[in-house]
Amino acid sequence: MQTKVQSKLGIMRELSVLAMVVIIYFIVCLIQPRFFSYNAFINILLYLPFLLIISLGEMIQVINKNIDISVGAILAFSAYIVGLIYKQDKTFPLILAFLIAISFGAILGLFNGLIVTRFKLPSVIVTLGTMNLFRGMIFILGGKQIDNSLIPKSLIRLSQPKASIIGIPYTVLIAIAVTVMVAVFLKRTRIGREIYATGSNVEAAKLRGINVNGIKLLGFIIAGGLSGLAGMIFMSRIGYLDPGAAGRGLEFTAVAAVVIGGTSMNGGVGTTLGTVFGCLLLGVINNAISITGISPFWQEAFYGLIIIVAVILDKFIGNRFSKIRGV
Amino acid sequence: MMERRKTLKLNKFLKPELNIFLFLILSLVAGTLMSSNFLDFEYLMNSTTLYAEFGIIALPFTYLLISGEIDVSVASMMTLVACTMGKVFQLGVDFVWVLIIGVLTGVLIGLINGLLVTLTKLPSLIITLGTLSLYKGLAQVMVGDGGISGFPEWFLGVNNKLVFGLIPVPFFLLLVLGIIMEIILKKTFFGRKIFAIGTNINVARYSAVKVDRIKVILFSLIGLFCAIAAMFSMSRLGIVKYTIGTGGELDVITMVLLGGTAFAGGRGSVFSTMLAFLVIVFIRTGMLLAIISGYTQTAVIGALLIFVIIISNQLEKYTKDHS
Repeated sequence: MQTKVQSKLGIMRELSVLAMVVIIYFIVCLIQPRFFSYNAFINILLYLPFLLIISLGEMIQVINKNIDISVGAILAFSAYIVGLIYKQDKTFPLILAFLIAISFGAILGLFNGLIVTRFKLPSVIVTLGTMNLFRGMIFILGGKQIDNSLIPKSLIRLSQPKASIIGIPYTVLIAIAVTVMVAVFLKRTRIGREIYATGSNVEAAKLRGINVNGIKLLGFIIAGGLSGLAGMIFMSRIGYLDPGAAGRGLEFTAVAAVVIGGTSMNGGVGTTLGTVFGCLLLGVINNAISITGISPFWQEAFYGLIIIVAVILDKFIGNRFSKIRGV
Repeated sequence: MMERRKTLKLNKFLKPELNIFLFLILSLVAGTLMSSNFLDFEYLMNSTTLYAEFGIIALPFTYLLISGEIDVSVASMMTLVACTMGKVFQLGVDFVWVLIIGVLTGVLIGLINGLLVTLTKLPSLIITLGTLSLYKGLAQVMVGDGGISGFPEWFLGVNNKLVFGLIPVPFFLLLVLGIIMEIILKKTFFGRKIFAIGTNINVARYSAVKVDRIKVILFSLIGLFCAIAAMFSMSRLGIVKYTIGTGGELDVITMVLLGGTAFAGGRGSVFSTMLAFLVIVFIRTGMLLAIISGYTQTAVIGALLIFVIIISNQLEKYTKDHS
């Protein structure tokens, strides 16, 4: 009974985000009919992949009751490593490049996770440190911009709708595949459920025989690996890599998407679908601002406002939920 | 008995706050080794003005962290205050009024943070993450891409003015404010209440500490100090842009944590935050003289932060086990 009410409310939460997306979309369409077009739609879709992939990693972290603010730096660092390889050999196989970016990101995540779990330190502070450390490491390794001429056509083509057989860019398809994988992992596997258990109550999870530190470590590794993948997609979309600017501030956007999607900062609560809608909302707003001719400077302010409104709404719905349960 | 007394003595010495003394000496040695020009008093004093703005914000930030809350929107607040002042100045308002409006804006946006945190009872990290974007965005909307300059002559160059012919004004103010705030923290009821809230919020509540009111005061205090920092920044640079405080929240948090203030609250001192400020100035100046780029400096500061929290954490564990 309880779980039924819980899941019903959970779906309501997600649907409310989706409703917000749809409402904003149609309002903008009324103001600016150009928004109701294939091109505008593709633009929204193209904004999504790297944000979505990085947000999914962040979501796993938040469910685990951690916050990872080094994801933007990991994105830049992994992409930079691949860029260095391309500098040596432009014909480097694409699949291998992806694998290197993902595993390099995962190693950086492992580094974060080891410090957090070994020394029992707050993840915000550790990743604040490593965020600076990783970003600085890029510059110790040279830190020159990876120009457009260095990036192979095969990578750029991944985010071009025309290069795809079905008209949807491959990067979007990759993002969809990752989303499905994360959803199945969290919902249907033993380890996925253990992530929720650890996030909602560490002590209880420990007593249940769950390897709490292992689960936390895994969260960091997944978030790192996904950031590495996002780095490749970022390079593909933007066409070059500015190591100082790439992914900067993305960690805050990712946390925003996750929180808007209904994942609780208290851990143990959150769904993949919610995060997808959260990203969609930010994507629609991002594109709506540019297409309606509002100063792009409003974007940042809007994001902030939405985060605050979303968490307060969440709190309100959460309170109602506890009343229903009679807590 | 003897042994117990010995460990107690050792415990007193091994306070996590004392780490920073060690780092201060280390950073001085490192700076001297990196460049022979490092140990120039005048040059070092001049360097403090580059970072004094964030150092000033770090003082009330220490209070807030001791009380168990955090405010990651500090750099955005500083930016918003600076941009508001610039905009008001552009409208032709007398500069004294511009300064007053700056102070009021700072206190107001700090108050908004405080009220949002205490009324909604949501984690301050998330609320201030929201206001971080909101305030920065509003500042951008107000000023746009360009810069505002042309401030009156008497307002500019505060970093070049010296007190007693030795200490630049921003650093002097940081010292004075820091000492006053340390005394308030350690010797007054108000200070003890901050510690009480950070140690155990429920016990504090049952002891008739007005928890929410103190938290709101602390958030507003940060707003006020952000306004002061914004003014110093404007005076030093002579121009207002929306990028004025970029990345400042990291510098501020690093200073406070380097100083041994516990992230979970209940422990810390303004005095060691000031020492941490000096450590960062020494390290950055040393690296600057050794021609090490800004991003590499960031990497070193990041690594230092992790290193220090690991050490102070282990020390705390050690003293707990042995007392």
